[in-house]
Amino acid sequence: MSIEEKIKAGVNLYAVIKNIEQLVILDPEIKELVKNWNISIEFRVKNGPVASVRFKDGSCDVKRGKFDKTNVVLFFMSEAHLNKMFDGNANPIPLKGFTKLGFLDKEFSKVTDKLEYYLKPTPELLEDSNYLKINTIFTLTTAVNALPVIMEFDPKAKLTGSHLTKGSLFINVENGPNAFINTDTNYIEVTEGNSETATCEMIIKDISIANKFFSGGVDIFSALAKQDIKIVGQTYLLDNIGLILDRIPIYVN
Amino acid sequence: MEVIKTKKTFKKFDYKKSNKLFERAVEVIPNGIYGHFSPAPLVPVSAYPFYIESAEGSKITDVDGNEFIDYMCGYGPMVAGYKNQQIEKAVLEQYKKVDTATGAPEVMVELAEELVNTITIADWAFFAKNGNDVTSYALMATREHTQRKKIIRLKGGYHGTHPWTQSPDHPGIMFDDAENIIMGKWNDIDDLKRIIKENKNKIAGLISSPYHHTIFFDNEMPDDGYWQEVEKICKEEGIVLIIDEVRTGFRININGANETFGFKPDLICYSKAMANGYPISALVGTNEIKSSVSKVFYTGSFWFSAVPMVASLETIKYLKANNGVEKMHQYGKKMEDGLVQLANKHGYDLKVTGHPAMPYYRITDDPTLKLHQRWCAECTQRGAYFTSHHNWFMSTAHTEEDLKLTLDIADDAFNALKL
Repeated sequence: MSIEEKIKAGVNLYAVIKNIEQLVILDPEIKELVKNWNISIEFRVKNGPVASVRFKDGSCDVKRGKFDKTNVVLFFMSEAHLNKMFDGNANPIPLKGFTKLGFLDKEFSKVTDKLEYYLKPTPELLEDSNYLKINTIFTLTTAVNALPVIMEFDPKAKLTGSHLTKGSLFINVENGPNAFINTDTNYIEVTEGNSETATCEMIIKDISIANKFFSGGVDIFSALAKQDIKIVGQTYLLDNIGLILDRIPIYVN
Repeated sequence: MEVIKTKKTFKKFDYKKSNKLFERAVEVIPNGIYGHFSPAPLVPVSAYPFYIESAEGSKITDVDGNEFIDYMCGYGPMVAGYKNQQIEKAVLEQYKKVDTATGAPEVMVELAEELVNTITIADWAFFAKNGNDVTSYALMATREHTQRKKIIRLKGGYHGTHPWTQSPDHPGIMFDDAENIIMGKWNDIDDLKRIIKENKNKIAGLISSPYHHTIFFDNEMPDDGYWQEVEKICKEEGIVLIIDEVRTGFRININGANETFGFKPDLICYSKAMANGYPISALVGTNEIKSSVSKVFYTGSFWFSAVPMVASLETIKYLKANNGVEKMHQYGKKMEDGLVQLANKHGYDLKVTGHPAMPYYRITDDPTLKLHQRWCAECTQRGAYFTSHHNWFMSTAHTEEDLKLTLDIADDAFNALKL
C-alpha cells in the first residue's frame, strides 16, 4: 500500500470525520436530524486504521479504535478502498448492522454530505460569516488531527517528528476556535489546554485570517511581521509543527 | 559594579514607518524580509524595528528615528563600530582607485599575508563573499583531500543555508542532499567514536563551531579535553577537522578560537566580523591540504572586489592595535555582571552562557521563554536592541556610557514586567 493511500486514509478517519462532533452542534439541520440517534458506526480497514463514530442524545463522539458496543461495522479491504468511498467512488462492506443499511444510505449520508459541504468552500460560500466560521473550525480540526498521521507515515514529517521536543502548542483564533497540541520526540497529541499551560502560543487575529492561513492562503512570515498572527514562547516548536502542517496539502485537497 | 539605583523611565518606541515599509515589501519581496533578518523570530514582532536608516559607533537608528544601542551588530559583522574612521578612510581611498575589475587587486595578497601572520594555523587564505561560500568550499576541499564522501556535522550547529547544511525535512531540501552528512553530538566523544567506527575510512571531515552557540538554547563551551580528543581522533583517522568561525571569528581570539581552546584544526572558515560589515569571507588552512584546495574550482563574480579586502585588512589591524578582542570581552563581562545583578534585584534569575563577547542570555524563571521574550522586547523598545532567541554581539565601539544607559534601560524593563 502506498504511503499516499495510508496517509489519506488516516487523515480521513482520524481528522476529517472528527469534524462530525462539531457539525451536530453548529449546523441546525444536522442538530435536528441526529437529536434522537443512538447508534455507533465503526470504520475498519483490513490491517489498517479503525475509527468509530457514536451518536447519542444529540451529541457525537469520534475516536480512534472502537466503542464497546458497535451497531454497525463497515469494512474496507484496503486504505485505497476507504479513500475511494470518501471520494464517492466505492461502497463499504458491511460486517455488522445489516438492518441499518437503509439508515446509512438515507440518514447518515445527510451528515457526510453536510460535512463535505463545509469542507469544500467556494469564494461565494466564504462570504457568508457563518459558513466561514464553520469552515475555519473544520479546517483547524482537520489540520491538527492530521498531524500525528502525517508524522507517522510521511518520510519528511517523520524526520521532523524526531526533532520535536517536549512542549505544547496552543493555537487560538481570537473570537474563534482553538486547538491544543502536546509534543515530544516522535509524539503529537491533540488534547485540551489553554494559553496558561502552553509552552508556545500562536494567536491569530480573526476568523478571516485564520481561514486563509489554514487553507494555505497566507504567507506565515509576512503574517507574523504584520501581526496578523502572533507567536510567543518556545517558537522553535512551531517551526517543526509548521513543517508537518506544510505536508498536509500533499495528501489532502 | 554598582547597580543603577535611580529609577529612570523610558518612553517606548513605535515603528509606524517600518511597518508601512514592510507592507510594501511583502508585495514585491518573498516574506518581505527573508532569512536571518526576517522579523518572524522577533517576539513580539511589534517591539522591533524592521528597517534601519543609519548607524554610527555602537548605535543604529531606524527609519522612524528611534536610536538603539546595537547588541546584535548586524548579527555579527559590525565589530569595530559603524563608520569606524580608520576602516572607512581606507575603504574610501580604495573606492577611488578600483573595486571590481578585470583582475585581482593588490590588497588581496596583503590580506592573505595578514591572515597568515595572524591566524596561527593558517598557511594560506582563500576569499569569497559569505560564510556559506567557505563552509561549502571547505567540504569540497576536504573530500578532494581524503577521497572520501562523508562529513560529520553536529546537531544544533549552523553552517549556512546550502542544502547540505539543512535538515532534509525543510522546504527545498531533499534526502539526497544529506546522504553523506552524519549528524553527531556536541561534547560527545563516545558518539564521535561510534560514528567513526560505523563509517571506517569513509569520513572526509568534521565541521563544527569552536563552541556550541545554538539559538533558543543555552550555549555550551567545550568540556575539558574535548577538542584535544577530537583533534587526536581526527588525526588518527585521517579526518579533516574544519572549524566554522563565521560567527566567533575575531571576537573570541584574534589568532583563532582554537588557540583559546587549545587545539589545531586543518581548516577555519571566517566571515561576518572580518571586515566590519563589508562583504567578504575566507577559508584558511594548513599546507597539508593546500594542494587539494587548489584543485577544486570555486569562484564568484564579486570575490575579487578590492574594497571588502581593504576593509578586512584595516579591521584586523584595528582590532590588533586596539586590543579589540580583550575590549569586547571586558565590556561583555561588565554587562553580564550588571544585568545579572539587576535581574537579581528584581527577583529574576538571568542565566548567561557562551563567550562574554557574544553571550546568550535567558531568564530561567519561565522555561517557556515568554518572560525572557517580554524583557528583551521591553529593552528593545527603550533603546537596547536585545533579541531573545539568539546570542548577542559586543563590539569595540560599545562605551561605558552605552553600558550605563543599557543598565538603566534594563532596570526600567524589569519594572515593566511587573505591570
